[in-house]
Amino acid sequence: MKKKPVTILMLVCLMAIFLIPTIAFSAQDPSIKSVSVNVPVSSGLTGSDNAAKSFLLDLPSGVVASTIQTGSFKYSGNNEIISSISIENGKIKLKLKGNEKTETFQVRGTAGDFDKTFITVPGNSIWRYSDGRRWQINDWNSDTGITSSYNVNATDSLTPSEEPPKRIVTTKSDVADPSTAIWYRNEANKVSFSDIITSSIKPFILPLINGSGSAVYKGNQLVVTHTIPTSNFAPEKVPESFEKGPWVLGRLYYARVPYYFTANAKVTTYSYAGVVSFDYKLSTEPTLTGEVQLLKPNPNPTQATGSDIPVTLSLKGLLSAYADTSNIQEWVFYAKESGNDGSLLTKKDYSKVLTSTQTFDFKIPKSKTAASKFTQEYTLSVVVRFTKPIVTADGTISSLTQSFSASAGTYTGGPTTPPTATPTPAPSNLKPPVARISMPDQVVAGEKFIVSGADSFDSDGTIVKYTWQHPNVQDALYGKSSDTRYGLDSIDTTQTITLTVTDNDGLTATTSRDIKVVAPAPAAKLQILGTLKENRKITLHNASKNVSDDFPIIPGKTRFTVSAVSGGTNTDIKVSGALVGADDVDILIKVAGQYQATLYVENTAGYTGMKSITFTVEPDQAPVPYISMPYTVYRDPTNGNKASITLEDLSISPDYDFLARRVWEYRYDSDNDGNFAEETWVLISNGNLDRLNFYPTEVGRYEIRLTVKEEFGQPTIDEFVTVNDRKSADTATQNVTERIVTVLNRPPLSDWSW
Amino acid sequence: MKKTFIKVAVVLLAGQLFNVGGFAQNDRVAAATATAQLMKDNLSKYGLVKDVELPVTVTAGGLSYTLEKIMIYDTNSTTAQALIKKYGYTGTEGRKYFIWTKITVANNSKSVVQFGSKDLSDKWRLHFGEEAWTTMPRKFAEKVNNPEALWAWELAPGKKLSTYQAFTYTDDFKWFVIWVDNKSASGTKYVVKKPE
Repeated sequence: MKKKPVTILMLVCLMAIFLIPTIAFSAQDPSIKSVSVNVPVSSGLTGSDNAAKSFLLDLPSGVVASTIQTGSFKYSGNNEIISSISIENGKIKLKLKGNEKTETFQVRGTAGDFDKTFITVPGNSIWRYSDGRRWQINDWNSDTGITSSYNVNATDSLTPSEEPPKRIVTTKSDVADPSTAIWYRNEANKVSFSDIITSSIKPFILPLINGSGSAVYKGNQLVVTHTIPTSNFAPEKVPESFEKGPWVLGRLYYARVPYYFTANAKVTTYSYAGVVSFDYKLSTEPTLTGEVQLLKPNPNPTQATGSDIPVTLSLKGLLSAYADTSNIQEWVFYAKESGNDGSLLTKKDYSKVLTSTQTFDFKIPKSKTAASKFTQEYTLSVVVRFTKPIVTADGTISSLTQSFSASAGTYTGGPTTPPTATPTPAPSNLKPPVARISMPDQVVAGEKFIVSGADSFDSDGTIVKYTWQHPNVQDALYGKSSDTRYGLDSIDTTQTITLTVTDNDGLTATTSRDIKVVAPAPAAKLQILGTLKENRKITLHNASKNVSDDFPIIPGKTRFTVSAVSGGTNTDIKVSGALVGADDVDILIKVAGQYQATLYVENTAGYTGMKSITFTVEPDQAPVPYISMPYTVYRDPTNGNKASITLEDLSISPDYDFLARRVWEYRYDSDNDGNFAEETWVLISNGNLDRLNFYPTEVGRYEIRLTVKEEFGQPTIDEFVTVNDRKSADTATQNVTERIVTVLNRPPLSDWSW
Repeated sequence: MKKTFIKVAVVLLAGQLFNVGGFAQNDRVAAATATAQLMKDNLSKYGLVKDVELPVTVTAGGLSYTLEKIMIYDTNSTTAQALIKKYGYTGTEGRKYFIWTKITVANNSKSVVQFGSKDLSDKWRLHFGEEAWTTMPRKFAEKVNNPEALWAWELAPGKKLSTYQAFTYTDDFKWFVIWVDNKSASGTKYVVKKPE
């Protein structure tokens, strides 16, 4: 009874550990991750309904069903899979056959609660005659099964006599139907009557209540011998055949006999455990791009009119390398006059789409257009938010943001900036074209970018000519769209590109866009791949981006450094290969703690980038051994008088390593003193068996020990690890009562049955 | 004078328990009960912390048993001995505690329910970790449905009986459960839950 809470606590702990899924990086492909989900541990399940069970396991956070490589499903455990593992309603579905274990143990049958005994109340009729001085004693003979009566004279001095004289009498009672009993293995565990070995059922008789005497079980009945007068009696009506008279009196002197049943139960229990592992493909890192178009004024800059100049900006967001539109929560667009937070405008789009466009309207007040030249800068941002964070090799992404700038200008008098082509006056019935430029607002020197006038249009004809003005570009622009770049000498300048379009009527329109040119510093990007655990391979990956096409990163100057921050020391960092000149470097950390990795890159323009990441290396946790076995077994005369004990391993690795070695041992309490310390361990099996039968020959107690040793569940670097780096543990911490089995001789079977 | 005072004190103790019981027989007792009428048990004195308050009703097979009040006494206490002597309770020798209950029993079934020579089975049982034993009021042993000290009883369908019943007990008080059994049906109520 006492060990049950401990067992439950242990199982709860195991289940809690098991229910935590883990994610590990694949050794082969950084974009593939392996993940494990545990089947909840359950043991001691009874009934045919538990012979097989279906499980629906939740996917780990960040894993989407569509990314799972279903062919990679693998179940590791003691149970047998009945049907293939599949995905159902976003969960992993599998059906397992329970591991059977048959146990025989003693049970108690009660009248309800565990403590509620049956009570039977047999009695003897004792009647007083009409003379008030004689008593008739009715006594039952257990040998003949006949009730006979005899008379005795009162021995008290009262007339009528108050009590019959003392006599030892016998009576009988049937016992309850055992099928109506509630059967318990212990207070917490009931057993079905169908599991009871009926031939083993016996009443266990407790001392009589309120009486002196005893009861024995004989011939399917309780035979009670007690001394009357007992302390309790019930008034009884004497039969018609008995004497009549005022002093005639009938009493039933009775005994209250408490009892319960004992029996043996043979129960088949089922247990489940295991791990389902599978691979899934990481989401590619989604990218948010976009563009701003100045729809008004057109042309830009435009000539001041003495009125406010309307400005319309179109902001477009485009999500690339991402397909799960259902995970898009919202698009948010911001636009303001640069430096004027009061002008901020916000728009939202809740459409689950990969691209969204919003327009913003501003005005350049006429007071500002009085200057000979005025330029209004605008700052714009587009944000896309995701319902569930996206797990990528670099971590999780919950939103993406991209910022832009644009400008609109006015001038007074004759046109100052570009346009060199004077717009052709339009005949009253013809409409001029509209010129529009699509291009980034900022580039790095040496970066190729596209400048397009493709969005220009003519409402009553077609555009037949695109004329570009582009001071300082490296490659001249031509036609509807072309690419170009700026050189190092344009760094930290704002350049203007002007487009004049001519339609088929000879009418023209001109617009321009500004673009900032910045230094081509490479964006160092460092990724820490692999399993961040002691003695596992960790890969430092150079994922830097160098957007400048003309000034690539110099591979020979790429350099990693790693140092200990806390927990370990620099000597605990093992490096496989060179830290310089490679995009991937494998390292291994011997001691858990915090470490810092730094990446340095340099490009041919002499610009550098650096990125540091502090990462935590977790300790390698030892396995948690746990064994399941019966508490009591019987020697089997038909099997060489040996007992058979099924030993089952329910051990787990809390951090999902493999249990690569299992050693089963026992020691026998040879002097039966309850102390195993002086006994010697004897090997049962070192064959890494997770389930086996042990056949002890001697009656007595055996202590079982299981020692489990892990193998790394994730890639390592063999040159830096030894056999001692593999964690091991034995069952010494398991409740001692759960690892001791008692071997008994089977008691002789009764030929009596219900 | 001194003797008179002691006698009144005994009466007061019993009267504080049950103001309609066999002891509430004079005006002075009635006055005393008026000040302590809310006391329904002394279970806490014996380490029993109630999970439900009295009265507690348990039913089975149409039989309703309501425990209105319960007081536990050391058998040798003045109060217990006074009750034992008054009603002639048997078998209290060697039993450590004397338990005095006020109960109401109602037969809501369609047949007679009784305790007597025709049916000696216990219809209700009090269990405190071990079984409490019913004890017979010898002076009313031949009576049926006695309202002061219950022994044999018989309730026709629809009938109800309020009375007092005594038990004896010897072991430690660990928990308190009432079991009611009637016509193969059972009811259970834990007044004090079993420790985990």
